[in-house]
Amino acid sequence: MDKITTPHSLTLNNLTKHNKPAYILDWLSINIHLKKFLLLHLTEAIDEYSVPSMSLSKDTVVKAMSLNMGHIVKAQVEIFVDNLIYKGYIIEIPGHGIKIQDKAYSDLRKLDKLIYYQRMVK
Amino acid sequence: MPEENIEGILEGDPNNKWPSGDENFDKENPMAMLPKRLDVIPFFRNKPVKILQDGFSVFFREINGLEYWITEKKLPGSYMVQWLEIEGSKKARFHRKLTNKNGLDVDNNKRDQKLVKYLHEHSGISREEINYFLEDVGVFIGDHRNDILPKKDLENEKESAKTQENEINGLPEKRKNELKKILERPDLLSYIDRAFYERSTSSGFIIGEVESKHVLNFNCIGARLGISTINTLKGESSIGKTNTANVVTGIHRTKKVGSLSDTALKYSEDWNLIDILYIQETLEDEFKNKQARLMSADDGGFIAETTIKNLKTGRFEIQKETIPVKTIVTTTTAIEIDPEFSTRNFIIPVDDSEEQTKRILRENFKTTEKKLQEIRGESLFDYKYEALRQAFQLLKPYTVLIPYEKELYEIFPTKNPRARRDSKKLMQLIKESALLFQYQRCKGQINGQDILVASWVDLGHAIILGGPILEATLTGFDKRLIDALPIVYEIIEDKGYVTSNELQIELGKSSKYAWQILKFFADNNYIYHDHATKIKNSVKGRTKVFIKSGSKEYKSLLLAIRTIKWPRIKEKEEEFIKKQILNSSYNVGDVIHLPHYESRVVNKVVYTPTPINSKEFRIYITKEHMPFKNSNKNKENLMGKSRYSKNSKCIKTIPGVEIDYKNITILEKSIFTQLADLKDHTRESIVEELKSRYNLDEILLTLKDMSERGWIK
Repeated sequence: MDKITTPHSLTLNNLTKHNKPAYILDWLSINIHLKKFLLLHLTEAIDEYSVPSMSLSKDTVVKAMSLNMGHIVKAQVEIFVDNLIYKGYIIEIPGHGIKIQDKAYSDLRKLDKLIYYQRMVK
Repeated sequence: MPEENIEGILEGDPNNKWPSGDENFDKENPMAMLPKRLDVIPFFRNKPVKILQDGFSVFFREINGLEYWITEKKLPGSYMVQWLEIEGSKKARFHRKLTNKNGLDVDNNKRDQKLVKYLHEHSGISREEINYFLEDVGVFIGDHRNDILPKKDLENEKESAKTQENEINGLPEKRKNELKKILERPDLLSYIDRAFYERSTSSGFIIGEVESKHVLNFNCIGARLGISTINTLKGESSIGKTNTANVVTGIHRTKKVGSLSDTALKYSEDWNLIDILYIQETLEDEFKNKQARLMSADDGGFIAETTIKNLKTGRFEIQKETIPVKTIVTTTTAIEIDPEFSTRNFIIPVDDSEEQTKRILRENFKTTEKKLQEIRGESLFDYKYEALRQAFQLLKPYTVLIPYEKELYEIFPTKNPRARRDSKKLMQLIKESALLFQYQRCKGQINGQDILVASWVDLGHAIILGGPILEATLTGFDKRLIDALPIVYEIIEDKGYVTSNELQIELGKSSKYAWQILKFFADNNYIYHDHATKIKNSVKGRTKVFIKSGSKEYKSLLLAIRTIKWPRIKEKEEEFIKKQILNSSYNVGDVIHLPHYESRVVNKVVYTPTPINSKEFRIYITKEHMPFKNSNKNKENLMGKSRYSKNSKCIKTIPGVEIDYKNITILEKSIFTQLADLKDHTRESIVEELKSRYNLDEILLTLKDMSERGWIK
């Protein structure tokens, strides 16, 4: 059976940039606490700066995250954001700006569980 | 009644029976009936007692053509006694009046000694003779008091009923005990807070304004018990200054006047019945008036000078009258107060923060609810206010001793001469707090004098409540400047100089802002432009290079207070009591009630008992930066250090809890983000981090909510 795709997701997929970041992080080796920290900051920054009528640029997200994380160098935050886009947690649609994907929320829940099990094992 | 008449009628036989005894007397003549009161005018030392409108004068003796009389006047709640010196028809009082609860017929050693001293020094009459006379007078008045005192008319009676001592004496014992219980409450400040809040809809109320209302109230208490101050409530118009002043002074003996004019003050006759002079609005120019300056606590009295026309010579003469020092309360919108005046004055900034506006607005939209409660009799509005008004009348004057005075020496900057006056103000506040809490402090007698020992709690009150006000009074700095000064000094220490560029980078603000700050400090001689340093460091262009000036070094009072060793202060107090107050069973308490804002209670402020040794109290004093309040929006900040201290345990997310991150609020997200941080967080630190982005109450409520849902612990 053919995969049913909605026109919406089709358009999104077509429009989405999947540029390979200049610095690809080894996502699997990243500490789960750091992952949670990053994802929470990401969701917070996007929530905070999303205005319905305006598109949210990557730059704004980087700036907001850098500020909220305690003035972390923007270049470093940008590497993370690029990797988050690459990993599909957020997508950047030309003309529509940054949009968060459900994957970010579901992974956060997974990370919570992982942290819990890790603690239990200890 | 004019004296001549008394003398005229009483010439000859004082026996009032003569008209009826005279057979030739025409009984139809209306003059036959003499006023009844004269019937009983007695003689003392062969001279008739002079009946005055509200008292009498009794003859003592004559020396070198001068007659000495003693006069006693009945005032509501007290008696005034003074000597009179009469030369022919000219009367002269030669010493100030002594007020006493009892008249001359009741023994009072202190008063009598003073009377003897005054007359002895003035006239040379031997002390024994005067003493004997006073005894004699006492017995005489005791026997004749009903005859020589005019009957009070009803109106006077009503008035006197209003005055304090009568009122307090007239209260049943049970009520007095109730009032004492109020004064014995360790959380008396909380009671005062509620009393100022729970007012009926028609009367003003105070919500928030923790420091302002308590400091003003402390000073009003001081006014009653002999410590005078000037208090200026400063702030923009229609911000609630008058309301604050009205509510606080309403609980004390206050006289409202329109302006500070010589004549108005001079011709006020009720000086003895009031403690506080409330001038409703003072304009900028009026601060420069001399009379206002003279009334400060240090200068002891106010001299009113008025020009009067001498009817005999036809010339104008200046008449001087000394008015006793009174505590002044006034409000002003003036931005700049004459510096000379401002140092002598408690400048009480009224809270103009957004949080305060919210609180007031919420209250203002509750009038219908309040009115309904009032009509239904559900709430006893004004009950606490009235109880407090009566309770304050139970407070007695004491000599307050501060056992830890020496420890305070170090916290005042010696380089700033203003500290001289300011240190006095801190002492005043400590004393006033002790007087207010006198039912909870150690009392004793040293050499016959009643004394009260100030506690470390009083220092706590003076610093926590009065600190921001003293700071504002002392420096005229606002919060921005207070924040910037340590940074400026730090840059100078690091680099040897500071320019607006460096400050701008450090502050993260615009260059104009940095320049304004540097200019203020340069204008006030904290720093100065040094050309040599500029050349030495090869700074180019028009940039000004500032270095520290040696003359002034600002030392923030509140920052210095961090260094206070509280347990040491408490020890000092204990030692003092042990040494000075023999057989005292008094135990020094170790809890202070610290105010903090709490949105869930009606009056928005709760007073949490905080032990001296507790971590919470240490947090308050060891914080890196102690925010302070000037006239601006930092009231919340001031309380910030103590507010969360109660719950300053570590906050963590509960492991294993499933959270739907997609559907939580942004604030909840922010809190989770903070908790995902690697460092440990307390409620306090979370609020600190988020308060720039969210409303304080919102953060607290969300935290509470999250903990109730089992997300955090």
